[in-house]
Amino acid sequence: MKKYLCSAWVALALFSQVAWSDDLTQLPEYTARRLGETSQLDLASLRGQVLMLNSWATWCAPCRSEMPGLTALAQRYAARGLTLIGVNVDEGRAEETVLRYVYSMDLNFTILRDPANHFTKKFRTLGVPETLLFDRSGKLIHHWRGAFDTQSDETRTLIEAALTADGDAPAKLTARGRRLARQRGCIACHATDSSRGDGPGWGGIAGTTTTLADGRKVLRDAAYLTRAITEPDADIVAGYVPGVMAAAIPGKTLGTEDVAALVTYIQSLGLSR
Amino acid sequence: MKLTMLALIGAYLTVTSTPASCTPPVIVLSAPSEISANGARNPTVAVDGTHGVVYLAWAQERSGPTNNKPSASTELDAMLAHSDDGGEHFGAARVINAAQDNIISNHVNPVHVAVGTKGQAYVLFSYADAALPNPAIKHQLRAMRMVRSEDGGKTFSAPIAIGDKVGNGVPTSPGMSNLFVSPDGTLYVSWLDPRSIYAYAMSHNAMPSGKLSVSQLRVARSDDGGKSFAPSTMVEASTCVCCGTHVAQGASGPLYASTRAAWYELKGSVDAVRDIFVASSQDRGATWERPVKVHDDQFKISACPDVNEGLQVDGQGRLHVAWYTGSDRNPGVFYAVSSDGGKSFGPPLALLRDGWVPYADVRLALDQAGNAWVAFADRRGDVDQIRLVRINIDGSVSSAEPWPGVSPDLATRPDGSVVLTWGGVPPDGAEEAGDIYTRIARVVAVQP
Repeated sequence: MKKYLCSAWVALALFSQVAWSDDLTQLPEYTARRLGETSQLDLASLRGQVLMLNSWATWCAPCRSEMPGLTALAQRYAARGLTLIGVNVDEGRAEETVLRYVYSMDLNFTILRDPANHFTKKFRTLGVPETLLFDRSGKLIHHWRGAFDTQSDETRTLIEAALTADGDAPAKLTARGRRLARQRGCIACHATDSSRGDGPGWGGIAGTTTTLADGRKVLRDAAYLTRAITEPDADIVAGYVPGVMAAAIPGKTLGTEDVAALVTYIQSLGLSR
Repeated sequence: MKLTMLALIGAYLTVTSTPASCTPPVIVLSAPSEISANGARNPTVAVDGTHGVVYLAWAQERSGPTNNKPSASTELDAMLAHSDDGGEHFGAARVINAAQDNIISNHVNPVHVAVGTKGQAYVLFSYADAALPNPAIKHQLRAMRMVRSEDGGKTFSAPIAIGDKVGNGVPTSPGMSNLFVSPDGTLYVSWLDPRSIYAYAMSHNAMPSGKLSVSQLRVARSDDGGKSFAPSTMVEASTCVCCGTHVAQGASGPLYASTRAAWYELKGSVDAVRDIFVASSQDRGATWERPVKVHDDQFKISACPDVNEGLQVDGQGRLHVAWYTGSDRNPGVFYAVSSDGGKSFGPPLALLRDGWVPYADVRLALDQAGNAWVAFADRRGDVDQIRLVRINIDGSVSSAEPWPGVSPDLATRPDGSVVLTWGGVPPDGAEEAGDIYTRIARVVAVQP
């Protein structure tokens, strides 16, 4: 009898741990290092975009199985404002291992490194793979625990819902971006069609893949476009030279919302413009 | 919300209704001892109770300190150190693998150390093997080796290969291995074997998915003190591909093997149920009975719960299991006992329970009296912590104050205390830690 009394007490005592919230509803603050680089990506810089965040590891077989589908999603929806970010959580010094994996899988989206796996705490995940979809306002639309069917009707419906969740917000951002592009002189070097200037023409580039001067192929999603504005020499497109844009915009610091507006404007420009 | 309410009620009852007659003993922790300051990971520990020797194994980066900078991948060595004073102090560590071996280590596939019945030290490690057998298989193949020392860790035998490099006619890649020495001195090595996945990849030039993307739990036995191993046997054909494996046996009774299942048992679900199962063998691993779930958690996920469960048999032949589940219904860390040879398990005792509990690595060690020590990772807070509890033989539970750390392991000493080892947590702003520690935990009775 004593044993059962003790057991009952113990069960209650151990149960009374601090209760943690598992109801993530908004995009939390999160910054991590870009794979292969020292620079950091702050998700706040992608404000106004629909974000799909996927946590993964090289040793994770389900992660591997869903990667081709994620690459296809990134390509299909980038021009409409979906940005896919992969967060690799391989523990320890695994940079080359992860890079080899990324090249072998031909991944076209931005990969962040988080060996200490802060991601799991910030986003209330259990492990890998897990994928979270946030709309343009940062509201969580869906959380997939484990690998998911990237090509299913349900996935398409959820992404469409995220892309259209904020009504006219993208239109307002687009208008602001158009205004900024004129005020800041961006269009002096970047045509709003596909014409080549001192910089690449903006028309129709969003969502396409381009080759950089160092030979890498990158998807021009919001993460790429944001960086191209804030760190213009980080990823130079083949055929262009570094330093031109950095020299052309000294002192003209753009705020996060300004950058988001410019990116949304670029995404709105089709090839026919 | 419901959980919060229950937690508050639980806390209230804890304060108001603790029976004085069953105040559990208090766990006292020694100060941590730093074993390695940089580049170390995934330590394991084993105790030679007869000679008072404690062995510690881990993986160590070859290229030195990380300096907290983004860095290239590094090669690892398997290290072994030993203590002649029961784990209070450790001597210099030595590399026990060959120079050409690039060790693979993570917390479900660490460098394992175990002690034989005559005080032999066995170290099992995985290393990166040959080139990929097929372009569709885009990850590094693994292989296993084991070394043994019969002089207290001074010298080691030449490494022997363990596990199958070829299964069903195609290359395979054993991983998530573990090493166990039974009370009669027989060695068992368990691992997850992806041979069916590779067979599919070889014939289809693509990796399988869903029900075809499962590993096998396999076990191999050595009857000659680790000089050689018999061909492996299959325990279960549909398991998780990246979860820990374990073997356990008492002085008499069946041999047990466990891991996390990948059973497609829920109608209409595309996700496998990844609950912990235990299979029994009455003939020392030659054949295996149908596996039994420790508890019907219904942890349904198409992911990699890359954590260990704990499995051990006490002197009465009872099988103790401690495990993590991420089930939506009831996530946490639990403990249960089977008193009928692994045919069924008693109700689980919650050691950690909350609305959100990320994957938790769990280790279990029994002392000679039958008290169950469980160490597990608690990753809910800003800083990862290790929790240590002792489920006492009277059913009460003692809990230690948690401390920062990852990847715990523990082993009991003859006096009933335990030696713990773990990895450090990265300092603020750093991506990795690289330090490993040990400490001793004892219990002190509380006078009512």
